[in-house]
Amino acid sequence: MPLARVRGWQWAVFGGLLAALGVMFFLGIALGSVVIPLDQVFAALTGGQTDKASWEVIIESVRAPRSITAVLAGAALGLAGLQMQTLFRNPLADPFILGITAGAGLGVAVVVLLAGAGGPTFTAGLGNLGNVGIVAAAFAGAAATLALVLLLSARIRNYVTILIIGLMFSYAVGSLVTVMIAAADARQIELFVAWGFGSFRGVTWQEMRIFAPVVGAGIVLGALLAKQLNALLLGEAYARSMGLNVKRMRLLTMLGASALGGVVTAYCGPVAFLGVATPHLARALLGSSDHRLLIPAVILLGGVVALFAELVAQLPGQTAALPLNAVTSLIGAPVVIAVLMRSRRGAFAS
Amino acid sequence: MTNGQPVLESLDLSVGYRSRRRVRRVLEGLNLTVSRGEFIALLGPNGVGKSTLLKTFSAIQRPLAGTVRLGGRPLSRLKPAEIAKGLSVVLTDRLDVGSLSAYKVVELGRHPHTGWGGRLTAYDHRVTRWAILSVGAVDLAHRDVNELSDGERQRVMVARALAQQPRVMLLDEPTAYLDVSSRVKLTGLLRRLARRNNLAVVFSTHDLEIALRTADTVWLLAPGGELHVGGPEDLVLGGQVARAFQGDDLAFNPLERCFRLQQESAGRALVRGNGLTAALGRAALEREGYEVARASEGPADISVTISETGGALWEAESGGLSRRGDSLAQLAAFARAGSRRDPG
Repeated sequence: MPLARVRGWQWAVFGGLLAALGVMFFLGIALGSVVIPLDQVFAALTGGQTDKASWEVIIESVRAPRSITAVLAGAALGLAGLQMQTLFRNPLADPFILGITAGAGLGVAVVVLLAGAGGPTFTAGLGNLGNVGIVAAAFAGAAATLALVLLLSARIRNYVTILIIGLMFSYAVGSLVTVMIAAADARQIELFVAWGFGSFRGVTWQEMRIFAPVVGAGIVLGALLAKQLNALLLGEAYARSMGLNVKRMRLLTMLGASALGGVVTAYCGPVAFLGVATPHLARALLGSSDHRLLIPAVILLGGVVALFAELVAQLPGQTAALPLNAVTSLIGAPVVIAVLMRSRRGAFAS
Repeated sequence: MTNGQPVLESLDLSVGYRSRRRVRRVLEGLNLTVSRGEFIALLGPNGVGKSTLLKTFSAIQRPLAGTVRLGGRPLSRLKPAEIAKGLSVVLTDRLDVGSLSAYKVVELGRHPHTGWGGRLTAYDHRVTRWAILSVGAVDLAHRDVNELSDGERQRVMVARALAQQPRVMLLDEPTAYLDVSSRVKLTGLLRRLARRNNLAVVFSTHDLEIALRTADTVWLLAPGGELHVGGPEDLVLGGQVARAFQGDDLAFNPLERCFRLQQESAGRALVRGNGLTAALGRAALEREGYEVARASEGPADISVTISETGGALWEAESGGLSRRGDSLAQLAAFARAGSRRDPG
């Protein structure tokens, strides 16, 4: 019987993903608005001296954190999206389906649109999305939403009901934000809109100390839940019959996925699309719904896709940059459609 | 059939649904036992509570009252994984697993036996292969479950349940969407599994005939929730089977252990002849509503001679008309015309 657990070509897919991640990461370091010769890039990476001191600074404090952020954010969103899609048995689910983004947006809106009136102390340096105030606000908003949704969903068994509650929550929060926008001035609105573009460029080394461990913890939790997610593939009743504590598993998965989605939103803004798209691409690449394969795949693939989007967004050699969200969706949507059309029955059966 | 202690039993069990506002009891006061190796058919009309009972037995649903014991210990005191090691299920739930090979689906049955990471040992793979082999699905193992026929998928789901290495397997209408030959095959497979592995199997079904011909024990749920337990022949003999399903237009034939459409009598028929052709000729006349006499006694509304050798297949006489023909459909048509000419 041809029953190997991971088939040869699936190993090849993983090899390809790793290689792509390496190449993309290197490009992320090598390319940017300032042109740095490749040998100088190598020199900086290997700890040598660069001809211009500024190049080393650019690589060390701009491009390296940016690329690492992209890898982590992509991995986080891919994994969280996969978890939500399996948990809710819904191919359209993403990490933000429970209203996490809306909550984060509300937090940011409160800070930017209302408190922004507070004057120059706040607005100073708001062009930098790494701004502590915005991150804290987004974090608080996301965490509050998560707590509320988890609390409600602990009393509800029906998955669709939970999804609808998340959706309703997003609408309600969105309207609050709209009201605040109506009352805000142009400068504040501009800032809020800029946050909505999404960016991997705001995370400093300092902030990486929170961002990276949270993403790491989310990934570890996700890996530990792979077995449970597999059991859930057969539906809740079967999962129960195989000894799965469905309630606990659901809570842990929602917690993990929302923490991943929340921390990415806090530091990078509402980065759309990666969470929905990456799992579909991974399923199509591997031809399997086995989470023990899919989880490593979405982590690698998420990183690759996020780095690629960031590379395109920054327009190498130019000083201007495109909004990240525009790039992810513009490039990603056709790719996902093409992949789904070409695979025999769609990457997700439903 | 009882060898020692029952592996699964219920004590004063009530099953049903509990919502915030009210409790709906579907079945009450159930005292049932399942022994190792026993092959049990759960019969009953739609909506009587078969699925609810099986779900309660498998701890997917909680009992409203009473207890279910697995291996002598109440389900409520067992951890979910412990229950899963003793009891597995095949449900009616539609499968929606994305893209997964049949092998991977069977492998999922090892869930309660593996650790946190779900890593499968060589032993787990051996059990998975054994389960696939046991249901004769070796040639399906590498195929995507979405591409399997209903019968094939059901065998894979039985293999998955088998891979859990249970002492009891509960199946909710496993033959529901299958064609006739697949039904017979699957029921035969389940019976074999029960015998060979000393596995207790309880399956609900609407397939009365197959159930009565294969089950060791029948749990018969009559409309209204009354439960009859016994060997299939005893329940036929006692009339419980007939009473549970009988309606105005349905009559149970205990000899043939099947139901017959009840219809107005078209008259008496007399059939001479032997062998299969004659028997089927009688069946054709019965279908047309005739009471077929066993011996040549008394008057008949139609009298038929069936011979398998030479000439016409049948010759019949009815109401002064004589006919002969080569197919039993012609005989039925002639009988039908006769009953219209001379009603009663």
